[in-house]
Amino acid sequence: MLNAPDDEIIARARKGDRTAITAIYEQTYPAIYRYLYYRLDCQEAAEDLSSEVYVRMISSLDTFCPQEVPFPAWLFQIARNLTIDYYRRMQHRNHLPLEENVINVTQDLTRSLDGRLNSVVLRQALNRISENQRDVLVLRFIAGMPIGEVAQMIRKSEDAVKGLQRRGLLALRSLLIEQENHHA
Amino acid sequence: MPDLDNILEEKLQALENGAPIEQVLASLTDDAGELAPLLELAATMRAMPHPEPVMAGVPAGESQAHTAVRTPARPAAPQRRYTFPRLQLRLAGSIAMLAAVVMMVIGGLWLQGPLTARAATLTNINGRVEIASSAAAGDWRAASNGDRVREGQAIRTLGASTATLVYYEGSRTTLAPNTLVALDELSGKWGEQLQVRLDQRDGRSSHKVIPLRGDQSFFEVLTPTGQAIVHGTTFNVVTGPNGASRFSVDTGKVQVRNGSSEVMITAGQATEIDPNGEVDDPSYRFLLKGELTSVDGSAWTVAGVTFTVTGETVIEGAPGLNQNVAVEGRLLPDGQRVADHIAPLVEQELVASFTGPVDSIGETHWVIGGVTVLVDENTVFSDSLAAGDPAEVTFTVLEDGSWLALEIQPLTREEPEPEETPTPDPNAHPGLSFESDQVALTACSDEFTVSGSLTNTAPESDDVAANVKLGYSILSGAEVIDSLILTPDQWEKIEMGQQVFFDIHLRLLPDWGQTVDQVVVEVFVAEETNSPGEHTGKLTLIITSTCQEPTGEPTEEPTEEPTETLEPSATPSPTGEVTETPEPTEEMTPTVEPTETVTPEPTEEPEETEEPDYCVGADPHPVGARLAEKYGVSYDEIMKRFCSGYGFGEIDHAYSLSLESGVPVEEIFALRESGLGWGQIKKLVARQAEEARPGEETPEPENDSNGKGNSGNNGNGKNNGNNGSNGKNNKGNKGKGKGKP
Repeated sequence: MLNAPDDEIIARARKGDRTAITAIYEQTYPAIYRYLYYRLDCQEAAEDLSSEVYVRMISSLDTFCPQEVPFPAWLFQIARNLTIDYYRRMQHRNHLPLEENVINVTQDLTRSLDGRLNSVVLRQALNRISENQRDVLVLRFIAGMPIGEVAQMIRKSEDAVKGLQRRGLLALRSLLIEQENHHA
Repeated sequence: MPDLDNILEEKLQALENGAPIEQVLASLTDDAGELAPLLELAATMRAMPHPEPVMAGVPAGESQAHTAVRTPARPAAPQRRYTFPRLQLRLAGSIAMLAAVVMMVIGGLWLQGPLTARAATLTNINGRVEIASSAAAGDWRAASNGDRVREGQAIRTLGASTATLVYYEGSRTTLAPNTLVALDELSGKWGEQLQVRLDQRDGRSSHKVIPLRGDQSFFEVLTPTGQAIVHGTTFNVVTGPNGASRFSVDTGKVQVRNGSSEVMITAGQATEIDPNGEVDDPSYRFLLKGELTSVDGSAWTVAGVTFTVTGETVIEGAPGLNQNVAVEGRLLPDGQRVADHIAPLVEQELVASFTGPVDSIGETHWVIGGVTVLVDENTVFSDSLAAGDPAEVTFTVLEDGSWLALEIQPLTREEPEPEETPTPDPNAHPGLSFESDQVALTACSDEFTVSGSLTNTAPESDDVAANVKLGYSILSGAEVIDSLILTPDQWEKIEMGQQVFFDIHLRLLPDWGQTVDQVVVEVFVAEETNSPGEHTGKLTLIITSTCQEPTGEPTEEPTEEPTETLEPSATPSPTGEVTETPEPTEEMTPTVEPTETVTPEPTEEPEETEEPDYCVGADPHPVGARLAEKYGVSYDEIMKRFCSGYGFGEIDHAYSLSLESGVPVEEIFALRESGLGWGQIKKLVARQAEEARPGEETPEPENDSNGKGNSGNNGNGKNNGNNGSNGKNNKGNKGKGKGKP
């Protein structure tokens, strides 16, 4: 969950207050890092981009408009844009399906996952679902962002995000079961 | 039908508000029961431990402004802890300064540079490529696309295999077959500064280096005898078997040195460091693609041009007379042409070119690099060329042995720009599938051409596949593959329902059957912009050796004794050709087109026991039928072409060209049979179409031309600008058309 800095800290940061910038960084860094960790396929890149998010944040603070978008959504948007740039630069998106995963409803959905779910397994599975689904799941369940902000961030309607959320969970679950079977 | 999306969101919010999962699950109605595992998963994701940044210790008594900043730990790897400099911001600094300082603090790894710089990504793997922990360790393992290669590791490509290394800021190294490089140094600094030192032990590599930034960047390629140092360029390195190294530059410049000897080579130039470490003076390059017509000791002739083959020349395979080859070499200061590299050529693109400075410009001939070339009204050149400029000449050899320039272009001195990544179209969801997923042959010959096709099976017209590129893996028998070429291997666009064709040209080493029993190659969609990673279909080519069978029983010649003859086509072909080639109807793997004797082995429906004929597969052959429909000609006409030795890809190409240019397809096939490559045919056809409209004036465009127009053409934009006054010709023909008006 991202701890949103209060308006006063943001206002001070916009004026270049070093204490405020540090406070924002300390409050938000863990969530931003987690988002990038699950959003990227390369851990080093997640670390690099986490740092870059704050460089971008500082250079863009004067353009931030609190009336238009909440600060957490704005910060995540920077992180998201960086991931898009990253994949464009690396040009190895072959393993990143952009099309939505649609899971056959006849699949055994009642089966329960055992307790082996950890961050590495989750990241592997998340990297196999579509970018939009992955964005929604990571922002909703790992960054703890409300559905309205997610919709604003990925520029889709709330209904569309709800659909992505359900289909993403279905796809993710299917992949986790598949991975479990593979390792069984 | 319940609105599952909204119910799920409602229950998720209940969980967020602190409701126990059991209670939320119990509140689900029967028709929303399928949401239970999803809610469980969401709850698990929320509750499970996530990677947490480890915070460095905060020194007692420090103010918040002096707090040591934290860095993330790696959840899966041993945790590392970094000590960070204290935050020392100055209020008076500009935002940019602030950004820089905070970057230093936040980054933590500032001094080490970005972690992504410490690995390069392997992409575009074709064939078999291997990675070892070091060149000396020899613990080679198969590499796959997306593998990260780090400092100290080594990469090698086996026969007919290639790969590309992409560095973190976009520079690239492409490895040719049978190449071994070690990543002696791989790092970088913030600001996209790249630090690469490659040790090329063997083979050929090409490098596209984005202009290096900052004073700490470097990109160097070491060879057994020398070193190339670049600062943003496109260049090539060849390490010969005896240790000689050759360096050539496409754009930019490269410093080549060995000890105190050093030369600078620029675009179009090349140099060699011999096994003793002597660095040659820069010389200009030549490139020939054509038929090997004479081998007289060390003097070989290709495309009418004679050159010298030395002990240093790298010769791939065993090219024989009348075989098409590609030759790269250098024009030495004394006028001698020395070949550096000779390789077999599948595509019959009979093109010859060389580079050199323009010595003089005349009405009927130019002298470039000391070589006289004729020019005529068809010679395309740029007005900007002046004496002293480096230029590249593409030429053809006339009957009297003189060289006629087809095109003279200035050599670019520009440094390469990073390639733009195509943007996916979010509305396009193409689905590409191969016509058949397996082709099996039993054979003893060492050269094959197998045709395949790829169809976009997506249902919607928007579902266009863009920037499609094929790749291949060698699953078995890599050691006996001399060359493997897919033609074509990429398409800019494949529309919904469109089928495209390609040929797999496979050349094996002589007596390959003595070494392996089987060669297995997989062809797949390596790149596609709109739905990358979604095209998982493959075409597997399996060739099983029959070479060890008793020699007293010759391999069957399936085309000699067809078991059944079809009636001639009801629709005579426009050419009036006699249906000489009988067309049996056996069903067999439809897309095999062996160039030599092979015995087909139907793998899926082996109900056929009669001797098959390669000319005809299923009756009707689905690919043949589609082409017939596409071009409005009879099925028999298409199949006759196929049976006379053309692949479906070639047939498609010829008819397409005919449609675009208006030149009869028979003429196009005649040109092909005369030995011309498709590139040349395209040019000739474009010219012919132009000449066929002598009185036709170029229509005035309604708006200003944007250089991409199709005036003089049918405007379909598909002929790549080789017709009329289109963009490409305009670009090359800024000049007045030297010579005769």
